[in-house]
Amino acid sequence: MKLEYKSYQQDLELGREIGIFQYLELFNIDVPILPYKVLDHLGKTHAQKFYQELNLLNKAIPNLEKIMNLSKELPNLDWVLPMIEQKTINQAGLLSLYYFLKKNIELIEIESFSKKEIPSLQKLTDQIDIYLDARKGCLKSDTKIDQLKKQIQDLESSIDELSKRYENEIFNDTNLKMIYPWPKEISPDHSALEKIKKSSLLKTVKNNDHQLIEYIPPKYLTEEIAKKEKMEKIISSYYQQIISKLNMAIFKKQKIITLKYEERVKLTYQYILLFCMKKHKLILPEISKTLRFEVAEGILPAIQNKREKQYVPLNINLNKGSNVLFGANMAGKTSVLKTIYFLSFLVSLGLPVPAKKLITSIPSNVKIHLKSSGTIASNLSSFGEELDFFSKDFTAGSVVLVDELFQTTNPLAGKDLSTIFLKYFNHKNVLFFCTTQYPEIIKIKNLNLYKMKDVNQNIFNSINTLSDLLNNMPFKVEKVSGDKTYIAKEGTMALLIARHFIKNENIKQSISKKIKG
Amino acid sequence: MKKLHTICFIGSDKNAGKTTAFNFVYAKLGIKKINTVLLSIGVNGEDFDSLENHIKPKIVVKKGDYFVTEQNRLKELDGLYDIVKIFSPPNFKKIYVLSCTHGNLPVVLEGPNEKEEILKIKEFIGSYFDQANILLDGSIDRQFIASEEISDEFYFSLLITQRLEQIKKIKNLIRPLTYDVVIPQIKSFIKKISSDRYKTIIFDESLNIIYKGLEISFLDKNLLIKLKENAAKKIYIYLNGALTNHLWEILSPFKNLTLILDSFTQEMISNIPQFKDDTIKKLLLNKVKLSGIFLREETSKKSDIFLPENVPVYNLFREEALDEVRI
Repeated sequence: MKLEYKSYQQDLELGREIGIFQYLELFNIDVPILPYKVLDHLGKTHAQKFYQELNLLNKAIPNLEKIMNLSKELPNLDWVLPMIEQKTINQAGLLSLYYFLKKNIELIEIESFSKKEIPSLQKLTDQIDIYLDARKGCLKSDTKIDQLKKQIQDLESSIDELSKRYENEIFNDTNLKMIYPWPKEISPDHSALEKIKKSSLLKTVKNNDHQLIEYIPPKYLTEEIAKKEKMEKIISSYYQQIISKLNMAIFKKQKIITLKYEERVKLTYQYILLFCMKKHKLILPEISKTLRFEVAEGILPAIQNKREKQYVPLNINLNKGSNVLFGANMAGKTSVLKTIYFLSFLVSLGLPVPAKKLITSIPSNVKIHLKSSGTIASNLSSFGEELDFFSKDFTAGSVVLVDELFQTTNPLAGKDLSTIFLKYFNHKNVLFFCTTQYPEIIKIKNLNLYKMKDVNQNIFNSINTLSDLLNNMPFKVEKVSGDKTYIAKEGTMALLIARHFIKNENIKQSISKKIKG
Repeated sequence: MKKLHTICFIGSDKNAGKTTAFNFVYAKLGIKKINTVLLSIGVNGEDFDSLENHIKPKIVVKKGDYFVTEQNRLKELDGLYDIVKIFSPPNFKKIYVLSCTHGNLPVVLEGPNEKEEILKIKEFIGSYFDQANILLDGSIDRQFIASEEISDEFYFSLLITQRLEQIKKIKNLIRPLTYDVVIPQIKSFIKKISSDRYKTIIFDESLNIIYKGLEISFLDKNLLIKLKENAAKKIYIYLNGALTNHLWEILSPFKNLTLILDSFTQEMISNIPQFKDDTIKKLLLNKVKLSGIFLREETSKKSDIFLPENVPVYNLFREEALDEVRI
């Protein structure tokens, strides 16, 4: 199975960067019954039901590995179902249907669901069994047909002999060595041409600058060939009758076959999700009816793969309304947003997620705006892009993520716009989460405030490069109250970082004076 | 002998007599007692030739032999064959069936057009049989037929006419057979660094990669830049795409260049003056084992086509019939 998300329109580059397509590849398993699955947002009700079913299935399966192995043997019937409907099933379609029914019964027997359909499916399998030798992949024949087949073989030998007789007669008549029915051409000045023209065994047709010789096979040969063709017709008609009989019987069960097949495809998809979930140590989210997002050790694999052992999973608890994240530069604020986007996006598609625990509502929509310097493609400045992002209404239940809220314009306007938007979203039925550098935001009442944990200031004695700094960043989110002290500290942290890495001594001294206050 | 041996048939044009050649070799092989599988790239064995308005020779699969075809081609033949394997999605775009005939059976062969699908079928055949000959009705349009993974030996069917376009096709098919094959060291290097994505790869004598081009070669502006930058050096260019007139015009001024063609089916150049000079050395990545050439002559006039030496040439339409070969 290959998972595809075709309507990924938000930002293809972002999708690649955060590894959505790579994540979907975790679920690639070669299962003929489900070669592709096109994902789409499930919608709140559907997603809730889907996760509920997955949870129940997860608890109910006795042996997932065995079930997966059997599921891999289920043939694809997408091409057979229309044949059943049109009563045109052929030998190959019949064999595939037979194997599907057999494997499906095997699966039902080890599954913990109702087994009441087994007799009906078994009856159809038995009916096919009468005419189909599944082991050999052929239709069964009776003694009469076997005899006819033997007679055809004898006739073929006879036709071969008679062909040789005909060829000898041609040679005697025209001096031309021919092998019936191989084609032959001769030049117009060929010595045998006159004889051929007079012969009753051959004729010539002009073809470009040569003569094409055509056969006039004698009656003894054509009669034998006709005899063989007649027998072939009897055999063919015999098998067509069997096929026709089977088509009628199968057509009567069309509804149940289609239903069982669709159910099996759906179940197979769920088994694949659960199988891969266990294989890659993923989890199913707990679905909350109220708008929230609480994750323990949430992972963004694209970053985890880069940072390997130094990767710090995300722990955060967001609620309905406006949620704000402060933090020093390079502290990992954007990665937090991307992780939440990634996990929420997976939930909206009904997939297992990489985390230890995730309690979340089903987002009606997941939107993210990351800081940019504008794009030529959109013909907008970075401020224009941000306004464009907010110009669309967010449906109730949306998860809206914004990096560096309104830092795309001058700080005074940016601060005012941020305040207006945060106040607005704080009373809306959306989960709004942004990062910001505006300390004034803290004055807004009832905001959920978070900050990135600061780096230990002592590390400046032991680090030389920005990469060293990154390696020492705690990358942890802390919930904070409305007091302003940590905002001041955060400003100091940016000064400390700048002082440590800037080489110019004059600037260093000025920064030091500023830090001392 | 290898477990699987694939004999590939290529026609220079429509009505070059490929099916007749196919039947001839198939009939000769029938004497040997090795499993035989008939496979086609795309469709072959259709009864009627709409181009020339006449009935074409059929492929009749002999009793006990195997064939692969698209399931719709088996309508009306139910009961006359055993199904060994059904090849279905996701690895295949259509449904193909590997079957064994109960008796002699005229079948329209239709196989996949993609290399990966042909390889999957070969992989199964290799696992199913201890030993087998595969007769592959190839298509000249499919460059991958020349790959060692696909074909072990070839038969060409050539349509000899007075029409320049047909003569050009034959020359393009025959000419690369005179090229030397790259030394094993370069061959393994190319195999290591190449993939279907890369249309051109430039490297030097010390096997340092200079350039890997993703774009179609003659549209690739960076290719020309890299060639100019390295014009003084002895360099190789591996080409995984058609060698067209336009590309040849780009490449031919670089005298220190050695051109390596992935397949002998790549040359699509007309007789342009630069080509006649033939200043650039050309090599083939894979050795081509050509076992026979079948001619279908529409004209008796002599042409300037030089057929390779030491390769048997047959004219089944004009020569004396061979006793041991019956359809």
